[in-house]
Parts: sequence; structure tokens; C-alpha cells
Amino acid sequence: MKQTIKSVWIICLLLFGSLSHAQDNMTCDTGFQAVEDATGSVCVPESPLRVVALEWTYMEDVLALGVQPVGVADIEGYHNWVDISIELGEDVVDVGTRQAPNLELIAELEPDLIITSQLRSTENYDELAAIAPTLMFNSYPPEGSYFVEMTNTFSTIATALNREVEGEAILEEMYQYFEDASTALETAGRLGEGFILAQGYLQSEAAVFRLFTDNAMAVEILEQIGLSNDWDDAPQQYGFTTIGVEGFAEIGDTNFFFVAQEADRNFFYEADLWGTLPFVQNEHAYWLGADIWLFGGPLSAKTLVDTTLTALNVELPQAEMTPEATAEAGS
Amino acid sequence: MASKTKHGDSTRFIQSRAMLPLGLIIGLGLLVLCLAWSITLGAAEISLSTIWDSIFAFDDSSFQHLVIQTVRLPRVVAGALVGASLAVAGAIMQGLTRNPLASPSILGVNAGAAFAVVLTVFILGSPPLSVYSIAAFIGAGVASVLVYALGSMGRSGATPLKLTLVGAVFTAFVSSFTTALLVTSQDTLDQIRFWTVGSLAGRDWALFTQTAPYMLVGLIGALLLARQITTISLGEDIATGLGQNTLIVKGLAAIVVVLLAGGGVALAGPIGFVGLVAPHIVRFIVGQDYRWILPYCALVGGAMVILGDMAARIIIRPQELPVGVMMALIGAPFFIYLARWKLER
Repeated sequence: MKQTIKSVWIICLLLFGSLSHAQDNMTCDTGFQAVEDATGSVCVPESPLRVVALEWTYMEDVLALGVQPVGVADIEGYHNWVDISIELGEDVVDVGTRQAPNLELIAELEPDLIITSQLRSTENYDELAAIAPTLMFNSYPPEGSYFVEMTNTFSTIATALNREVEGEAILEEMYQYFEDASTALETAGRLGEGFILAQGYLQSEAAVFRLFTDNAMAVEILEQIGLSNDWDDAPQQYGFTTIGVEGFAEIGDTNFFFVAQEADRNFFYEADLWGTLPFVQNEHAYWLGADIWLFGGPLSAKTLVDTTLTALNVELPQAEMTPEATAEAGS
Repeated sequence: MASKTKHGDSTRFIQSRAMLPLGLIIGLGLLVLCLAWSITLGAAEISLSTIWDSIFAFDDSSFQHLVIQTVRLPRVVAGALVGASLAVAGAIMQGLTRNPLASPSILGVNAGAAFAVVLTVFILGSPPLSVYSIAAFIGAGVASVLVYALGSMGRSGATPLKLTLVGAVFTAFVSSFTTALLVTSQDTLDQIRFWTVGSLAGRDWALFTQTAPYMLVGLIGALLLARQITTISLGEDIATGLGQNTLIVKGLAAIVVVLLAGGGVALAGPIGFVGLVAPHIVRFIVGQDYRWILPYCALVGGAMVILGDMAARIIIRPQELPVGVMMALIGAPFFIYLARWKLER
């Protein structure tokens, strides 16, 4: 009961607080700085200590910058789908699903910054903003590259967390890693090879695949290291076309990289149809794993490149200091 | 009193009794045509000759043959069987309760079966496929008993209007639990859609072979009971007067309905309105004799679901609608028509 009264009190205070600095000219109070996001500009504390991240990408970004959030959404799903070199702390609170998090639980955590996505939080943005300053980003901007959006948002989060130097270093490292990967592909004589990137899953017991189009961030990453997307469907809003089994009729031999949960992958492998696909017959189907997040941040990007190279049996030129090791040393 | 809810035999479309078997053969031919037409539709372009080969000269290393054999064929065969089962179940229910609005979806049988399946999956995780049908039968059985018992309360007994209302309330009640279970589990929205509307997407032989035997037994049982159902549909007094043990017939018919509706729901989810609409179309063609109504219903119901599924696949290509949505589009106006003109006050 005491806790509830306290939360209500905090909500009232914060509501008043957020109203008071929701003005257009964005002169923030002392101790606050203005940060650009999808809603325009938000005043956030200069050094936030208690961060709640409601989308896996931003969880990953925050962790990459060396901050353990106090609360995040859907930890089970995060572990199923996302794999980065930094572990999520054991005492991080699970605040519910990404689209409908438990607002009371978030309020009780007394965050000083909430980070969320426009895709999932359009409906509850006002409630979140009443709890704490809330940054909302759009990973699917109507114009411009999704990859550039990812790096910009990462830099913005770095600024908001007062870790700009670390943020820049991580992006540098990522670009360097891409370059190394490209060199490695060139050495192996595989630069310019075609690929199709897919995410497979079961939908009411039938196999369904998302095939990523040219505008997808993950495709942009693989093209940056020198591979070429063979799935030439028109760009889609979320960067993929969804096909059923029959859609494979259009796909010839290519490097077929796919992400799927292990049980689903086994289901595909057992289907008689799988063995008749050209890229399977030529042994060009590569399961990248379950937790290669194709919608993530810089660390997920490196994981994607890393598993892609491993799948193609291409080794990076210098192995003495892998980016993973650097990231671990940094945390 | 009953005569107003029915057409006399003189109003039926096929006038001569001799023509009835011929009509059945023509109907069967049309159903096979629907099946074949449906098999030609799909994202992958597959020629007619390849389809022919995939059935009669199957090559298990051909992608196209496998698409036909493992994707399209199970889908249409499942559609035909589910449609036949739900239509026959609807006809039996309409005959037994002498209620033109009776059908597995209107009286809550489908909703009960769907809830039981979802509850079982929720508790057991991913149970063996054989469990699906058993759960569906229990759900369908409990729903039938509950709706009939609640609908029979009060002075005038189980009137069509009361049964329909109780069925609608029961459906709403149970469906909200189904949705609640699905929302709280980790499943995707598509699975929710499947168990709240009914769909043929992704049906394969594995589940088909688990559910089909029950539905086939149900269909045969229905045909064996057809004469007795005809008698009861004339009025229970008449049936008793003719020396029929109506209790036993009703009990057996109820088991048949549970096998048919439960099996249909276990395989394709709660597809509504087939069981309501098909028997009315069939009565218009063949009159009041259930020995003809039931086999015709099987054909018409099967064709309805297959055609509905084809429409559901074409309308928003390359996306798909669940066939249950198409059935509701056709069925809901028909329901209003029946309630307005056929239901006695």
C-alpha cells in the first residue's frame, strides 16, 4: 500500500515535471539535456542511472554502452532471439511484453530514462512519458536507410547516457569489423557472391519464411561486407516479404542464410520438400542460429557478420584481438 | 406447427425420386471439380500435367510434386472432409431439434471444441496430435449437453429461439476464455486467429490422419441413422407413435454430431455457418428426407468450404484470409434471413 501511494506520488510529480518541460523551444532545466528522437526533442537527465529499455535493440544498445538497465521487456524472448557478447544482469526486472509493458512495475522502478520504439509504443507513449523522460525511436523511417537510422539512434542513446566516446568507439569497431570481413571474403575469392537472408518459423504448424529485401538493415550489413542480395522483391516497410513453402518455387541456387529457433529448423529439415530446394541440394543452406537478431544494434550486426563468415567457412585475417574480446574487456 | 418451418416435398427442386441418385452423382462430380480447381491455385505456378503426374506418377525428388502432395492436396481434402462433417452435423441438429437455426457454430458446439483444444495445448504444451481430437470431442460433448440443458429450462422447453440464444451466449462466453488463454500464452497472433475463426492453412497429413477416421465414422453413422432422423424431424409424437425409441436415436445422433463437429474443429478450427447454410440449400434441392439430405449435405458442405477457402486465398493475394472469415461473410446474412423468415415466434 505504501508502495502504491509512493508510485502515485511519483507519477504525479513526474507528470507535472514532464508537462513543465514539454515546451517547444526545449530549454531544459539544469541537469537535463535535449535529445532528438522520433517525437521531436526530449529533455533527459544528463547522466541517467536508472534506464528502462522496452525494445530488444535498445536493450542491446544500452548494454553495449556499458550500462545495465533496471528494467527491460520480455527477457525470455530476448534470450531466444538476441545474442551479444554482454550478458544482461541477473537483477534486471522483466516489465512484461514489449508492446504492453506493465506501467505500474515501470513506475515502481523509478527510472530516470525510458527508451522505446515507435512500432510498439505509439499507444502508451504518454503514459510512459508521465513516468520518466521517454525516448522513442523509429527503426523504419519512411525515408532513408534503416542501417543509418540504427547507427544514428545508437549515437543518440550514447549521448543520452553520457557515453559518447564509448559509443563512437563501438561504431568504429563495427565498421572496422565490416572492412575486415570484406577483406576476408576477397581473400577467399567470395566477394560479390549472392545470398538470401531469411527468418523461418512455424505458423499454425506450417513453415513460413521472411525473406529480407534490399532496404532491410541486415541486408545492408551483408552488402557492406561485399555480398549481394538475390531476393529482388520490392522494398517492404519492415524490410521483408513473407512467403509460405510455395514461395520457394522462385528461388534458385544461392547462399541461403536463415535464422530460426532450433525446433523449427528441425521441422524444416525433416520436411521432404526441404531436400528438393536447389540451395539445399547444392549445400548452400546455412542455419545461422536461433539468436541472430536481424533487427538489432551494432553488436547484433557484428554477430550477424561473424556467423555469416563462419557459415561460408571464411576466416577473419587477424585473430589476435577479436571485437568480441574488446567488447568484453570494455564491460 | 412444424409445417410452417418446412417446405413440403412438392416445393423441392428435384421433383422425381428417380432423379435423386443421379443428382448425387452429379454433385460428386462437381465436388471433385472444385477439389481439382483448388489444387491448381497457389503461389507456385504448377502446370496441370505436373499436377496429374504428382498424383499418379509421384516423384519424391520433385519440388512441385511435393508441393502438391504435402501442401495443396492435404489442404483441399481436409477442407472437403471438414465441410462435409460440419454440414451433416448441422443437418442432424436441425432435424433433431426441429430448429432451422441449429448448427454446430450457432449452438456453441464448435466454440466448446475449440476451447477444449486450446486449453489442452495450454496445459500440456505440445501434446501428441491424437490428443487434439479427444479434447475436441470432450469440448463438443460438454458444450452440446450444457447448451441443450440450459435451453430446455423453463416452461416451453427447448424452443428454437431459446436454444439459439443460449448457444450464442455460450459461444461468446467460451470464446472469451479461448482468447484469454491464447493472449496470455507466448503464441503468435496467427495462432489466435486459427482457434478463434478456423482456417485450412498449413493442414498436413499428420493431423488429418488423426482426425479423419472419427469424421468418417461420424458420416457413416449419420447415414445409418438417416431414416430415424427423418421420423423425428416430423415430430417426436409421430416418431414415438411409429414405435421409435426416440431417446436412443437422439443419443446416437448426438454422438455422431460430437464426432463430426469435434473432428472438424480439431482439424481446422471452428469454421462457422457451413453447418447452418448447407442443410437449407440441400432441403431446397431434395426436400425433407434425411436419407437424401445427409449425403447431399456432405457434398454441398465440402464444396462450400473448398470454394470459400479458394476465395479466401485469392481476395487479398498474396496474403490469405482464414476460410472461417469467408464463411461468416456468406453465413451471417443467411442467418439473418432465416431468423427473420423461418423462425417461429
